[in-house]
Amino acid sequence: MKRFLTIVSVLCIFATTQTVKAWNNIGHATIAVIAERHMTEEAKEKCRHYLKHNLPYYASWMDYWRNCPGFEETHYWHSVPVDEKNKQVKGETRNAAYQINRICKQMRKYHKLKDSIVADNLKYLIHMVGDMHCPVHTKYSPNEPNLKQRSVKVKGKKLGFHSYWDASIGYYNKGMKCDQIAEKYDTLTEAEIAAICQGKPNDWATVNAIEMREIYTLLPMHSEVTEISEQNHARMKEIAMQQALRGGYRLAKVLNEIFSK
Amino acid sequence: MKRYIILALCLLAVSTASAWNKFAQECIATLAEQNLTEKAKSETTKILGGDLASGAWWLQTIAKNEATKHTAHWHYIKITADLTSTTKSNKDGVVQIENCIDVLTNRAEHSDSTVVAALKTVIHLVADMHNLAHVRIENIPNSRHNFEFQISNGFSGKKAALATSSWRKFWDSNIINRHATYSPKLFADDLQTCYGADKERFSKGDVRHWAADMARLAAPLYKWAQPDMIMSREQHNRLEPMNDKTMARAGYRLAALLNEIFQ
Repeated sequence: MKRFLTIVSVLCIFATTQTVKAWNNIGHATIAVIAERHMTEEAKEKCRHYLKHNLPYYASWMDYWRNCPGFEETHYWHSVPVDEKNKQVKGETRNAAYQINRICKQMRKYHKLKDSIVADNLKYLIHMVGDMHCPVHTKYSPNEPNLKQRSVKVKGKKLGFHSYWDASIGYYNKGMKCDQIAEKYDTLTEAEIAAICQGKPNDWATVNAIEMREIYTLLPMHSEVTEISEQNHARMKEIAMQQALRGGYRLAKVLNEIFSK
Repeated sequence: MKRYIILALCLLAVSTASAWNKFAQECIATLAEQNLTEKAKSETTKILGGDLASGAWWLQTIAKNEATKHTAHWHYIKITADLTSTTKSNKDGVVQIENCIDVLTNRAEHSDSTVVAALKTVIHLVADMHNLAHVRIENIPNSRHNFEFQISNGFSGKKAALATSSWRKFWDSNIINRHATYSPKLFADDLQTCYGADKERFSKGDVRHWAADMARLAAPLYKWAQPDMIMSREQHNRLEPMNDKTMARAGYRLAALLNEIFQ
């Protein structure tokens, strides 16, 4: 019975999942809520001034616009391509970490930019800092065929490996809203958060590239999701939530730094 | 096994039911709750035994019962060609809100159950009259009949796809479901951030004025919205703030109405 209910839940979640390739809505919104909980009052106030909304409202904005005229290039800003040594592919600007760095540099003088540019930059950052932490958004080299994302099965039915991980935060927190998930998991100490926030987006991308190789062994390609061991599912949940927390804390750090100047 | 598959399908179907969905209703009620006076909050909590959101969905649940199926008409408002609300018909949301205001104002003369029903009805109908697909304008046929159209996924080439939706379903659930992973409080907080400065302006007037205001918003929309049209992803995105704004209007106006009744 328990197994059957799991299958039904998985099917329900994926039946409502959009075809976008990113953390899905609940993942992005959770990360934005976590970020807001760790932003300075000044940064929160500035974000509200430019966005006219709270952070979670724009968490999936890039996904809604990526296929609209004028936004074609942004389609490629959701993931980080890396080589076999876990380094970002040189000269590749279709890279979330590269775009985050570019926007952060531009935002150093945010007060000299048009309000609409600042608002758009914030919308990009809210989404991309979250997305670069999605376990399947490290794009490994084609020279590593064992890390190519194919499909898995849910009770015999094919499902993209990528789609599974995009929906993982919702899947592992069934029936919960994004703010409830944030409340439940955002329990790290100040020291732990400070440790997570050390470094820059390039460093975070490298750590992701090293650590996210594990997901390909936890959920092998073409495997049956409902037959994966409880131990593996527990580890997959741990990874999904760890990455959401990292995304949230680091997004707060990025925004706090921009608006502390 | 079969039983659970049916249950799962029912759960999916519920989220696309043809009324402003439960999440939207609860968001509006929560925004209203945040803007009640202490007196109004205390009175409404006493009547409902909970917050406004706890009573927000009740009217929808009775619309299918044989004895109360006549209430299905109440979720819409009738507007004349000159964009005013003058109807006296009982099959109209505005008239029913006015009836409930009367019951709530003179609540000492009514039974407890009547007062509870009146309050739950007001919460639901003030929200519904602000749904753009629930405004029926006399000389605009598309506003009086539900119609189907297609929504583009925005892709080009092999991935391009069109999904069929009804106009009502689009406004009842499609747009707001982009934020359905929030708690109602989180979305109400966002509406407050975005439209808090407009609260006084939105709250002015009475229910008939609000109905006319909604008609002025809806009428131009129907010049564009036609059966069988294809809505691009960009158009879809640009309609979202319009929906947010009508939800904010509904929340602030519901609060203003209840504050006046329970002053």
